[in-house]
Amino acid sequence: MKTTEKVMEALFQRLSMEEITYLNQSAQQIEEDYKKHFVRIFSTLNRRLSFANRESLISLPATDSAKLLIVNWTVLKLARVWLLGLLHDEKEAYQQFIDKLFEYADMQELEALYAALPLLDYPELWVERCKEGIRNNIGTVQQAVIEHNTFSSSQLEEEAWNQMILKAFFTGKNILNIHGLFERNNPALAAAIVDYIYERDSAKRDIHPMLWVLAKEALPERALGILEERYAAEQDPHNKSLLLQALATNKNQLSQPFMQLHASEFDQISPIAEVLEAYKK
Amino acid sequence: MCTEMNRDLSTMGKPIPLELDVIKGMKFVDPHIHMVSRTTDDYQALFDAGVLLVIEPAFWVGQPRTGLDTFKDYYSSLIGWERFRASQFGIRHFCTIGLNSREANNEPLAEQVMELLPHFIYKEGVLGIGEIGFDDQTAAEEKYYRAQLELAKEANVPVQVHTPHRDKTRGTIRSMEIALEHGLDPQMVIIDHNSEETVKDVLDRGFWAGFTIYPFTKMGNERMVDIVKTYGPEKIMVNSAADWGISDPLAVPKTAALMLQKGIARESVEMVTYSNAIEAFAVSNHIDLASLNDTLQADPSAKFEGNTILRGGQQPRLNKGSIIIS
Repeated sequence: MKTTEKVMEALFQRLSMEEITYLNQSAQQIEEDYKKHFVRIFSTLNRRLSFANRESLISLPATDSAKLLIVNWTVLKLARVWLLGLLHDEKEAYQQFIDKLFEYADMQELEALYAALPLLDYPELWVERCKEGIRNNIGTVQQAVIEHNTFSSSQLEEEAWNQMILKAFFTGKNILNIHGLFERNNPALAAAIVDYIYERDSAKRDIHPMLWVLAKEALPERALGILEERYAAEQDPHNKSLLLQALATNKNQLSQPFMQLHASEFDQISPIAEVLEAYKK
Repeated sequence: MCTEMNRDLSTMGKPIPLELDVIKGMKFVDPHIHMVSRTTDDYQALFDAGVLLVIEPAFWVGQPRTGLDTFKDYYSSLIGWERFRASQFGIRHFCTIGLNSREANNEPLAEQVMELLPHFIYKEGVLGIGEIGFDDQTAAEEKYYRAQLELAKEANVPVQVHTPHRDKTRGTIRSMEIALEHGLDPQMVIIDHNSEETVKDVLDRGFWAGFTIYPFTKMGNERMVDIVKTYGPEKIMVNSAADWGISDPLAVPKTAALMLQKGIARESVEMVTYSNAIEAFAVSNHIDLASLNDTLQADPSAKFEGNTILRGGQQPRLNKGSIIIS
């Protein structure tokens, strides 16, 4: 079954008969002449779904949705993404049409458009758009690009990817929701993270525990000194376990006073997957 | 906008201390406020005073725009960034989209803006067409006022009408007559910036009457109290029209407090500061009104989760009394 069919099945389970009929008609109209009908259908969909339905949340097993990672999407967002999946045309016309949708989009439409990036034809056309989405200042729109989105991990070059990860930390996104986070980790990102760690430390502000995990292979002496201090002061057990992972990677470079106090803690270290799982919860 | 800056303060009446306890637990709508020109402090103050929903009509930004793209980006910000910004402070943001009267006078540009409007009026967060109407009462203003009334009629959405500062009574009556001529239902039209001189004409014709509580140039709220005492609360609503001039974003809750102090019944105050605006702008077509109560009752210090309940505690508070910034 194609992704759009799986999505449709899950979507229609949530909707009333009236809403389903409307969407079926709409799909048919889009197939007949999308240039004539799509904008109206897409833009006014919020007025076609009941309050309860449009805001209710839906998740789909990743195996059913292929490139789409549908985790706590509103039904409205999923319905719009499904509609976008119905669009097909030659490259130039397709790009022009989708670009216009972005240009005139409201907040919720933008969320759907960015969430749909992995589903769009001609992925190479949407790389710049994806970067633009990461620059967007609307939290929920950023979230639609950064979290649970396979497009950025599969299409962004390293520099843009690294900017996205840093932006995710700066804007308080849920880091573990980033698809491809560990697969695309790289030394240039670690260097930028270390710089960020220094800045946070100078400002005497919190340091996100995932920063240590991502940069753990590339921590210079100064960073290790900060890590030792922060570990000793950390109260939250899940954060502490993450910091311990970064310390373990650098065990031979740690200071003697630190090791004297904490050496035994390395004996009960859990596998990183378990630590991340516990932190996620 | 302020044009009477040199007014003698002693003519402005005896100050009454700002005491908002009397309106604690009440919820308000400000149906005309230009938040793009306001700071985050204002959003926090609005939330604290019980303003849970604001309506931002598209307007003149203080100087004329010279190209279509600045209009487009402005409309876009009203359904995008500004809406999100408000939500961060626990406030639901809606807008009306339109070509304002001043800029209607740049006809070549106005033509292009008219083509742009249909792209925006159906968007999430857009309640209707506004603020449109007369300023200098020129032929061009009339032309685009009429064209936008047609658009509103076709889309079946409310219209928010700006009435002129100069030659106000004539301009107000003319605005209503034109709306009737185009077959608009007065129930769907909010005539704004009324005064003692215009209110009767507006109510007699069945239109909604908006009053802008704006220091120096528009209504003062003591006068507003008298108007509600004279005409009752039906079809009347107050707003701040706060913008980039000396204006007061708390005009609605302050006026509510003053009305209660002056003996106007709570139900009447509730009508002119909340429910009439909700009805006139058909807000229930856009959100579940019960969610506004949820916002009011939500613990402002609770962490923000989900889309439906907005809480004002999401954004950190600065200690304004400290010279330390950290």
